[in-house]
Amino acid sequence: MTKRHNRMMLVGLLVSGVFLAGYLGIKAFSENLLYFYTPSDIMTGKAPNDKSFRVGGLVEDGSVERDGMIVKFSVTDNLESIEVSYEGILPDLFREGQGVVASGSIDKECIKAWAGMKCSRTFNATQVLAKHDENYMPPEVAAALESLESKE
Amino acid sequence: MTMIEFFSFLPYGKYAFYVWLAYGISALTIIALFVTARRNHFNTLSSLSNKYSRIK
Amino acid sequence: MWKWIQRQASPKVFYHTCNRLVPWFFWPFITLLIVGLYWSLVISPADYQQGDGYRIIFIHVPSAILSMMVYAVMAIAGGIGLIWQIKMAEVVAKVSAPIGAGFTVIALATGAIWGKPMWGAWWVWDARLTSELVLLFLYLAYMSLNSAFDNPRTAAKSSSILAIVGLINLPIIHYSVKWWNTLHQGYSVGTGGIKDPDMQIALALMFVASILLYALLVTIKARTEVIIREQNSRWVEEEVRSLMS
Repeated sequence: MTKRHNRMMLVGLLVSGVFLAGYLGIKAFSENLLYFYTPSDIMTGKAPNDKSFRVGGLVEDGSVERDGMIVKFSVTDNLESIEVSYEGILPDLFREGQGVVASGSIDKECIKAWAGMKCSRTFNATQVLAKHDENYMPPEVAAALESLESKE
Repeated sequence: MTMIEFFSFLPYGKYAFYVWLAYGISALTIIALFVTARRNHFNTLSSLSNKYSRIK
Repeated sequence: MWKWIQRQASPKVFYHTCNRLVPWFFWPFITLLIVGLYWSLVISPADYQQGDGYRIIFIHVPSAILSMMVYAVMAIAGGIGLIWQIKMAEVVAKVSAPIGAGFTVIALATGAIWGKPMWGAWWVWDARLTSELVLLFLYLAYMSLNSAFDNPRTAAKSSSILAIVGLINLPIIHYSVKWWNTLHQGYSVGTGGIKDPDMQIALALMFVASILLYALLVTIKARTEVIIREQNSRWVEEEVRSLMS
């Protein structure tokens, strides 16, 4: 084996070692790198209960209600949805059907109902960010695409 | 008057401030790369030519 | 073939190649930049959701891609320097670092400026943004490690190892929008996300212009680096004398 082969082996080992370490690291830290939870995560109890976190999904059509500075809307991932209440300025891209990420915490309100307790959950947001999609097109194209979709 | 309103005389209306700020910062960064490259080159040349004339 | 590479990799030949290449990169770069800017800022239509605000994409996406490409070139050149002891590969790796850092700064800055009006925040700690910031730190670490040694060969060796180790970050940046829930949107390039032909042309022009910019800066910076490294050889002395007279 020549000296160059030795060095090649060394660099190769280095690269594969680093990639292995990186893979394991990512696997371990995956949870922490999650920027937001989906409404389904909340319903299945994956989201933290006691501390603040972020919820992401689409603003449900027809769910936006404004009451002065307070905005109420539902965030859905098309399986589950959660009601969000927010006071403040919304980003430009905020609209119904748009992806959003809200940070805050869950308020669980339970009232005594006829059969046991009835609970409603609202997400009290301190910040609402808009998540935009990867599509870029002029308004005419968007309109054309939409009319195509409605025909189908 | 906010910055965003102030810059709205430029093209792109309410996004003028953001668009031109982004293009401006990029231009400055690229110019800085060229300027430092040029300055390094001339500094190197002059210090080396000093060194050569000292030796001779 | 091997002979030819060795000849090209001799400092003197490499220096003159760089000298000759500079105008070949410079003029196409300027032309493409002007046409690309015109296409980005004038010809391309406004976006259906973001209006004219989306025009930041024409610098953001090319510089983000270049920030990763330059890193890959830097690490590979460093690796070639380590394995085959080609000094000119070390030069390419070393001068690439500040250029790549520049592209990273542009990508981060334009991204922040874009995020403020659209998302509603300058910065969020999602996986995409965080991994791109790590890339900037990798460049900075590479540069400071490279300047920490007096001997250019030792400096090249240790910093190349750092660059190769840091390669792991590239797939993380690329797949971050897929592996984790991020605020950053998914891929628009190569997936048909950009639907307008003028937008595609503008982006392609700016991308090629960015590659030429990188090539141009590498050739310019490499000349200086070769002169410094080979300052004790006869031809450098003659070259410096003729340039300074």
